[in-house]
Amino acid sequence: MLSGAGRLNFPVISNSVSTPPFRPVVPCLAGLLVLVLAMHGSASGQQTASLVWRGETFPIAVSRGDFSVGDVARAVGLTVSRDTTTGVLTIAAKPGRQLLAGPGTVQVPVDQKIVEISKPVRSDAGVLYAPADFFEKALFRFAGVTGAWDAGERLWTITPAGGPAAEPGAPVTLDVAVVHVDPTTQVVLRESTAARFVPRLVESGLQIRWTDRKIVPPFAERRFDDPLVAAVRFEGDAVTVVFRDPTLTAHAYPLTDPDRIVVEVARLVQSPPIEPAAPPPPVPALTIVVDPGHGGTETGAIGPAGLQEKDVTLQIARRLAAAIPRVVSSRVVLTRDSDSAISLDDRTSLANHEKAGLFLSLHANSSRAVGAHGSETYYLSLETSDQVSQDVARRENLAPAAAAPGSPEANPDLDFILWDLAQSAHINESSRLAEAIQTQLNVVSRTENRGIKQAPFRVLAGATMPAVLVEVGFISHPDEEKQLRSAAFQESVAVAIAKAVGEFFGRRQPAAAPAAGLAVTPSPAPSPGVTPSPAR
Amino acid sequence: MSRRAAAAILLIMAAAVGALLLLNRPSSSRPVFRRRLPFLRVTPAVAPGTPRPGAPASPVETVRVTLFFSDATEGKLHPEERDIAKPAEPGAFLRALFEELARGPTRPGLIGVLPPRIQLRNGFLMPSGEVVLDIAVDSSLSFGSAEELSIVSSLVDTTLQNVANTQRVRILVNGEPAESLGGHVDLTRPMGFLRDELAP
Repeated sequence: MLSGAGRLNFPVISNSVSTPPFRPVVPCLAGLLVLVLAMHGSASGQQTASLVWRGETFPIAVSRGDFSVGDVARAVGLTVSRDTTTGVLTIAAKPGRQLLAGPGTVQVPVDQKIVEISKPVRSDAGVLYAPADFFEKALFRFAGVTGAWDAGERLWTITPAGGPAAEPGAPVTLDVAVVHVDPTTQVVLRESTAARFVPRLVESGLQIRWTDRKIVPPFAERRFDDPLVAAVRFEGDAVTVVFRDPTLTAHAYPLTDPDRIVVEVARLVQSPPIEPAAPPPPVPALTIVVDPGHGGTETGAIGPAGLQEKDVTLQIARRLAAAIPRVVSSRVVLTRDSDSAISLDDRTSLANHEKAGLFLSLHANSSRAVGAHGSETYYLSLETSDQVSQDVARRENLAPAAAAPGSPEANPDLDFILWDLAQSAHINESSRLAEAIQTQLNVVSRTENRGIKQAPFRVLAGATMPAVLVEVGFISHPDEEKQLRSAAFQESVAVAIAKAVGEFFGRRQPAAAPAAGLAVTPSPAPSPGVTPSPAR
Repeated sequence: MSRRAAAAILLIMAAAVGALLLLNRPSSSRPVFRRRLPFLRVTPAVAPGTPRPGAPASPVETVRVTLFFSDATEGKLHPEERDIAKPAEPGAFLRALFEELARGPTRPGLIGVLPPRIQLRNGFLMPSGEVVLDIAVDSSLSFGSAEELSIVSSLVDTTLQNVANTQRVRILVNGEPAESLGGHVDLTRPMGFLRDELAP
């Protein structure tokens, strides 16, 4: 190499100091220090707290002031399972009861109710963390306990619901309203402030006793002109909802905003358990096929944050499969219950094979139009098949009688017509079902009403029963993608569709209704527009 | 027959053949091949302005076509007119229409409906009046129903709006019949004009 010429020379400061040979020790130590600092920085939001329950102390992971949902749930004796795809935790108290929480959940599905919390549940390194009111309003009540958070000690103290209160407060002022929504009656006890209570079935009805506060009853006893509830009677710190006859039962649950206790009175639908050798419940005559759109390699639309339509539709379909039998006595069949690809015709064929009474195909929408958002419900457009029919008729009128007119072999278009005839016979009912679903989606999911529409969708064409395709929201819209990811939204959509299915069968003419299983019960939350039962 | 009479007959026949050949002589304004059905539903566009004296006339003859694009808010289809070079035959016209759709709208507030990874492999006009559009769809593409409806409606309606003597459009995907583009719109049958997706 030539020296000097053309090269940049650096001045030598001192020749007397011998430069130590380069060793990687110093950079390594520096790097280690940086790594430790970085780890410390990333973990700065991570802390722990404790939870005391039945004399045992449990460590609870804390992140940015929120508590690990799984840690708390397990500590109070609940069973926790996690969906690895969505990160949703299913918290079970006993068979048939569950609480769901996933990343982004603000409305927490607790059994059949939705509990709103102050800020979303969030995921941190695969662990779900929730604010304190998630536990106070949802999880502890679900578990039948109450919890008090001591920020100084960083300690949750858990006591059984109705156990000793931390300190007695002001008395609770109460209002009473009785509303009948056939076939149930709801007695709403509106409280001036939320207070702990214990419900108990007694001989005359359902008794509620407040355990931590005195109450100010609005009256001693009032009789109601209601088919199920005879009276509401206050005695001491308890109230009794008096049944009209002993075949009734009731349960109570708290709601907030405003604070209230709802007592739901209904007729016993099953034989009393004391009767020996009760026969197993009959298999419902009605089958409903729920079709989670796409699957397998057919991802469907993909949201800007990567949410895939096939996952959303499967989650909602599973929830819908659980929700429909609570509204309509029926057997629900899913066209797929896993991440698998199925052809469109096979989905419809399954519904036909099952002799289903309804076919519900679930989808999440996408559009290149950035403003497109909201839910839509489609039923089949017969425009295309009408055109094909006209063309076939015209050709057959013109054609010589060489081939047997009307035979599918002679004209493959007839296959289309015959396939479409299947759905055209149900098109009016499909339209009515679409309307019922869209109405419920508008109310519950709070999405913009894009109305009911018709389109030549393949999956609807050959269904021999009322069939609709529900677009629950736009996965291409960033806000709606977040909604679609949330377990609470999925649950509310499922409940809304199930309610619409109940309405659909409830309003159907008896001659057209399936042979059995039309017991329609409204959802537990009070519905708007119901008529209050007049007090005597 | 005398020799003179035979020569006269031969002369008359030769003259008749010559006249027939002359009458059927190929010319630039009249093609020699069999007459074809017109395939342009549209009328030629009005030439923009009067050509300057002495300037050569524009060699490109144009036609005005109507294309359907989506609006940016609701996703409904709106028409947009533009002039394109007059195609020589139906296949070229179908390709030109597809290319114009792929090029996208010029009107503000409208957006294109064809993703870049959808291309036209071939377009045919069948004697029965059915148009076959064979489109290449990238396997990585995925659609929601609104997007899929926009794509199919835009292709079908643009084709039927502009190509004469057509009632139906059949869409093939990658050369083969397909159930749908992305799991929604039925492609197993030819489609007529889809009005539901047009803006009111």
